[in-house]
Order: sequence, then structure tokens, then C-alpha cells
Amino acid sequence: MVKDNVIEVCGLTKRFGAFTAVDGISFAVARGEIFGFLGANGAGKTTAMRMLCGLSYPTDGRGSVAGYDVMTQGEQIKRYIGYMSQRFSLYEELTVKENMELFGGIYGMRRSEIRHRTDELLQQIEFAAHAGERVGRLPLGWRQKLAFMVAMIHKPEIVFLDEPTGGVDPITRRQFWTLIRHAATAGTTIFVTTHYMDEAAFCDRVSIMVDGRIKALDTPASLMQQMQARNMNEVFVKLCR
Amino acid sequence: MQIRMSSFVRKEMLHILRDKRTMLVVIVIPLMLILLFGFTVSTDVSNIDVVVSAPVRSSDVESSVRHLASSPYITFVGYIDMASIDAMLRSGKASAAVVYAADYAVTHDVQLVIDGADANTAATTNAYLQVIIAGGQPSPFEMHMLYNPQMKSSFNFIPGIMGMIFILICAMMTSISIVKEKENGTMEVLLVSPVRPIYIVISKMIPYLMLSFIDLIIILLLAHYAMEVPMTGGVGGIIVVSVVYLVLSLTLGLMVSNLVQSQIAALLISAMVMMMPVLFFSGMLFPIDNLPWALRWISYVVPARWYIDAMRKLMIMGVGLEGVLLELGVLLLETLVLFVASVMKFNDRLE
Amino acid sequence: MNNAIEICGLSKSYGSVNALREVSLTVGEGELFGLIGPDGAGKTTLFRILATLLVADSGTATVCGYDVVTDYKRLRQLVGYMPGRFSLYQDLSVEENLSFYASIFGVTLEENYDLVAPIYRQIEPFRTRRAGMLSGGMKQKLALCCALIHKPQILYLDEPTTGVDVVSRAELWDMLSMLREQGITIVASTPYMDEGSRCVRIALMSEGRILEVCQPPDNLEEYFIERMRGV
Repeated sequence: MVKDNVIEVCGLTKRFGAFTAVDGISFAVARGEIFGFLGANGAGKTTAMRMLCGLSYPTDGRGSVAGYDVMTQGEQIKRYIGYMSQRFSLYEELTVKENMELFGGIYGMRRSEIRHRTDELLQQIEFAAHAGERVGRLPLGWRQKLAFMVAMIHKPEIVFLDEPTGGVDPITRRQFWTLIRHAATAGTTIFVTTHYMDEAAFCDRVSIMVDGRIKALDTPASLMQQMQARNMNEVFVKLCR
Repeated sequence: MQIRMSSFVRKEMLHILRDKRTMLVVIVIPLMLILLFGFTVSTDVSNIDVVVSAPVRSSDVESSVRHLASSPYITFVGYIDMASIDAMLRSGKASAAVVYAADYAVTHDVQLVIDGADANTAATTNAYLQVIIAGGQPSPFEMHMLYNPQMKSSFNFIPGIMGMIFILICAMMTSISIVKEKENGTMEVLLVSPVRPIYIVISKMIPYLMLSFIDLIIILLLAHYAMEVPMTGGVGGIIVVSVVYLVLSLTLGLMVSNLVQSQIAALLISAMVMMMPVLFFSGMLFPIDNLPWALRWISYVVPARWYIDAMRKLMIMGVGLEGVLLELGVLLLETLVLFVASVMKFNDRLE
Repeated sequence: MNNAIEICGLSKSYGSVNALREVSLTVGEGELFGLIGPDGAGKTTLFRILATLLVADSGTATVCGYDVVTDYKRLRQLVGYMPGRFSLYQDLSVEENLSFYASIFGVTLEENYDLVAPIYRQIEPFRTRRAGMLSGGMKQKLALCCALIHKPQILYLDEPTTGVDVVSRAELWDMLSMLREQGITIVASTPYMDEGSRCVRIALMSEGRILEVCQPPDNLEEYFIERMRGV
């Protein structure tokens, strides 16, 4: 590793039969960076993210995540990453604390460690008073914030967020991004997909995938400059059309 | 409304034809069940290992044993003395022993010692041995089995399997396909359209009715030509009663789909609430007369019980339609009640 | 201008959850009206009541002059409805989906082709492809065609842009503006604040209440947050 890159990908490719879902993408993400992974529907974002999380094997190319090879060390990778998606977040029948215990246990943390970490995380979102409540009874905005905290319980090197703010209200959305910024400052790398283009502007760097390839990769500011666009929305539309 | 119904039915056929799993359930499973139960799984007992103990081997005894050993159901293991009977049964070398009395020639007294570990097999073994031995000696009884002289268990199973398969296809598949539309959100759009909701449902039933009719024909052909089920009463009656039962099962499926919101729930209810009673209360596995009275009463409302009874009479006893009017009447009544209830219950809103 | 929709004091609860609380609203004929709010704001419940799929606990609503409870059969002829998560048959082709939806309204694709043509032409090259194999943007277009095929007077779209990329989202709003010019009244909901600006008027919804009905302000997100804090 040259710089302190936690994700390094070179020519990563995934084919399903004759269809190439991900077509030789290459990029690197530095420690503590917020990396926005954007793209049109069906551009191959999900497939690429699955390979990075060690859930699917690349057809071709190399890649390392948290220092482990995506081709051969998928199991080790899973230990050092956190994952949160809009669809599956937490077990609704369990309380906040029980969810934390469960996921802490899955990552092999000791009980005292889990307890300590739970307090720490809940304090961060000012939710310690509600630790005994069932997740299913909480409003959506809280659930999404909690899901993020749970994904952070084992102090992962990288957290993958798959459309984490879909459908939440604007206040929660801002709070969510404050949490993301906070985690990144503390050294956790954030790898995030979103359909909100204003959120893309909050990222340190953004990649935009079109038809399985990365068509642009830079800071939001220089992308806007290069494309002569006023906002990320225009950048995206110009690249995809 | 003509055009609408036909396009609904067409759409439903497309769903079925394009889903390999549905085709599997509809065509392969019935065939498999029939072949499995008809040819391989059976409660018939054959190759009973029998030992004989006779203190006096008179010519009467030897003639009886010869008769016994010649039966296709019996494997004659050999003569042993009384004391080793227990050891033989325990070791599994024999499953029954026939003990001839010392004065057999005069009294014709015979004792049967049977391995009772498996009660069903023991009962059958007992019956077989009695009949066979009685056949080889002067006896006050003359046995004559009506309708199923070879006591083939496949004869008994076929009506039961039919009762089960039609519940499976009609009730389960219809309810799942209706609930699937609720899950996918397409039901919302259908409900908002001017189509009367009941047409949606009826047009869903038609393809499944057609499919199960095809199954019925296949099963009848297999039963008659491959398994030699007599059906001397004529096929007409069988088809009439079966079609009533098919419609009844479809209505049950409609009922279920009214009550649940997810495909999994539809599947579970169909399997637990509708398939299990077919197994328990229809006389397919145990005789209904053996059930405690409370369960026996429940069996009176299980449609499969009436259907299977009617099928036994029509297919095996060879009576005509006039012999199953009671069963047919009950099935018709149940169909009517269920249909009215589920149409009234059918919601043209979401709740 | 006549009112296409008049809603007065609608409330609806599921058990202990109040999905709608005393919602009142009017939508003018030929308007493109937006319901803006996060998940759980009550948008879907409101649509379902207006589409005659649910009956409110209290309050009244009329659509095109018909009461949504007593005249629901007549209303179902007039309304086009596109629920969230496009309700298409994934195992049927593009053409089969459209023909089927046409048939349940007693029309055919051929006779109403002109209505949907501007949108349908974009997906027509894929007409034999199964709906399940389409991209998000194409599914959205097909679902819109299906909701339009019977020439409804009023069109409801429940979160038509959720989970769809920015390009397809912009295209959808272009199509809605075009439909509005043809005189169709449109009510669409969205959780994306930036889409509010594409509407004539919007209602800001949160936790079953309408915070405000207004013309879309310049920075809707800021405005929304202020209004949420104000309640």
C-alpha cells in the first residue's frame, strides 16, 4: 500500500454470462475518506459493492479491502467492515440494546466491550434513555440512525452504506450526515451510495458509474467545474445522458 | 365483460406457463405421488418370515405347513422347538411363529406368536396367517373379500391422493396466486379499476380448474391402466363428483386468500389447515371409526372425507352415481356455503 | 377554476398509529400537485383513500365531484393510480402488461395508443422483454403508461421516483408536465425535496399532518425544516 488506502481496486470485473455488470473499474479510497459511489439504476453499483464486501467473487481484476484480497480473503474482509442498507437494518422485535448485543456478538466482541461501546454510540446520538425500547416501535428516522450505529459497533475500518437516507425526513437526513462526518473524522472510511444529489456534494470524493464503468471520479467541486455545472444534479444528468 | 374475462384468463395462463415451479407442482407432483403410493409405498405385507414349532409332526401338520409355505406372502424359515421361538423373533430371523398343538390332528388347535413391535404389520400378519392356515384345514369360516380381493393398498390410496392433490393445486395454488398480487401491489391497481373484484377472482380460478381437470384425467388413466383399479361403475360419476370437489377446493383457496396478506401465510394455512385434515380425517391413513368421537364429528365437515368416500365407492366398489348421492349432496352444499361466504367476505377495498 | 379534489378533515388510524390527522386540502382541475414528506408522513394512506381503496375514520373527500366512499364505483372509471413500487407483472412482457391493464378498463392498446405514445415509444423497442428485466427508469415509464391507458381524468402517483436515478427522475417530471398540459389533474408524492419545485402547488406533510400548502419556495428543504421545527 502506497498511501494509507483502505480500498484499492484495479480492473475489477464481474460478468454474468454474456452480460458485463461491472467492467474493469479501478479506484482507491483513503482512510477516513467519505467516498460517494453514484450511478444510474442498473449501472452496476450493487454488484461492485457486493464484491468489495466479500459477498461475490470478481470474474477478473484485483482488489483489496482493509488489506485483504477480495478474491481469496472474503471472510477476513467481512470482519473489518460494517454494512447498512435501507432495506435491512435491525431486528424489529428486539430492543435497541439487544440489537447492539446481537451484532456485537456476531463480530465476536466481549460482553464488557459491547456494553461500553453501546453506551458510547447511544450517547453520540443522544438516545441512551431509549436503549430498552423495541426497534419496531421507533420512528423510521431513529431506526436509520441506530442502524448506522450498529454497523459501527465493532469499530470497522470501512462502513458501506447503501442508500442509508432513503425516505427519511430532511432533519434526520442532516443529522445522519453529521454522524457520517463524525465517524470519518475519527478515522472510519465511509463508502456510501445515494440517490440524493445534494448528499453527493457532502462527500470528499465521488465516483459516477455508467454502464458498468466509472465515468468520472473526483471531488464534487472539481466535477462541477469540469462539467460546468451548478450542482451535482447537473453533473450526474450530463454524465448519464 | 367477455373480453375482460378472457384477457384475465390469458394472463393467468401466462403466469403459470412461465413459472417452472408452478408447472412442477401442477404436473410432476401429482404424477409422483400416484406412482409413489401406487407402486412402491404400500401397507401390504409380503415375505413374512415364519417359523413353525410342532411337537408332533403328524401328516396333518406337514400338509398344513406345506400349504403355508406355498403362499406367496410367506417365507418358511424352518421347524424349531418351542423354547427358541422367543430368540428367533428377538433376533429378527422370523417375524411370526406358528405353534401346532400336540393333538392338532384332532383339535386343529394352532397358536400364532407374532412380533408386535410394529402394530400395523403385526395386525396384517395375523390376518394373513389366519386366512392361510384356515385355508389349509377344515374351517367353519369361508373368507371372501368383496371389491378388493387381493387387498391391494394402492386401491385405498388413490382416492386419498386425489383428495390431497386437488386441495394442493386448487386451494393452495389459487390462494398463493391471489395473495401474490396483494404482495406485489398489483391488486391495488386491479381494485381501483372498474372491474368487479369477483371477476378477478373467478378468472383466476379458471386456469387452475383446467389444470386440475387435466390432472384428474391423468390420474384416472394411470389408476385404470397401470394399477388396474376397476372403475366398473363408469367414469361419468367419478368426473361429476371430482369437478364438484375441484370447485369446492378453489373456493377454499379463495377463502384463504381473503384472510391472509402474504404468500407464506397462504402456503402455511393451506398446508396445515387444509392438507392435514385430508390426511387425518379422510380415512386415508386410519379408519375414521377409530377416531375419538369429537374428531369424528370434525371429519364430517372435512370435504375430502366425503370426496374420498365417494371415490372409493365409485372406483373400487363400482357403484354408479346413484350410490354416492349423499356424498355428492354434502359436497354441493359445502361448495355453495363456502362460495357465498367468500364472495360476501371478498373485499373490494384494502381493508 | 373548479376543484378536482376536495378533502375535509380526513383522519385515519391503524391501531394506535395515527396515519392521517385532520387533513384538509383542495386540488384544482388541471393542477400538478405535490405531496412532499418523509416516509410515514401519511402520503400513501391519503392516496389510498382518494383512490377508494381505504375508508377514512372521519372526514370527507370528493374527487371530480364524486364522494370517495359512496360513489366509489363511478370514481374507479375516472382515476389512474400508480402505487409505490411499480405494480407490474414481472413475468409478463412490456406489451402484455400494457394490454392487460388496458383490458381491465375495457379499452385496447390500439385504440388508446396515441394517449401513451410519447412515453410508450421510449420503451416500445423492448416490448417483448419481461417487465422484471427492465431497468428502474423503464419500469417507471411502463407503470405510467399502464396508469394512463384508460385516459383517466385524474392521476395519482405514489412516490413514482423513489429508488430511481436522477436522470429517470427528471424525465418522469418532464412527462408529468406534458400530461398536465393535456388537462389531466395530477397528484404525485415524493420524499425528495428538490422535486417539489416541479409542482404547481405542494403540501408539506409530516406525521399525518399537513404542515402547509403553498407554491414551492426556492429552498424547499430549508423551508421544510423550519416548518417541522415550528410545529
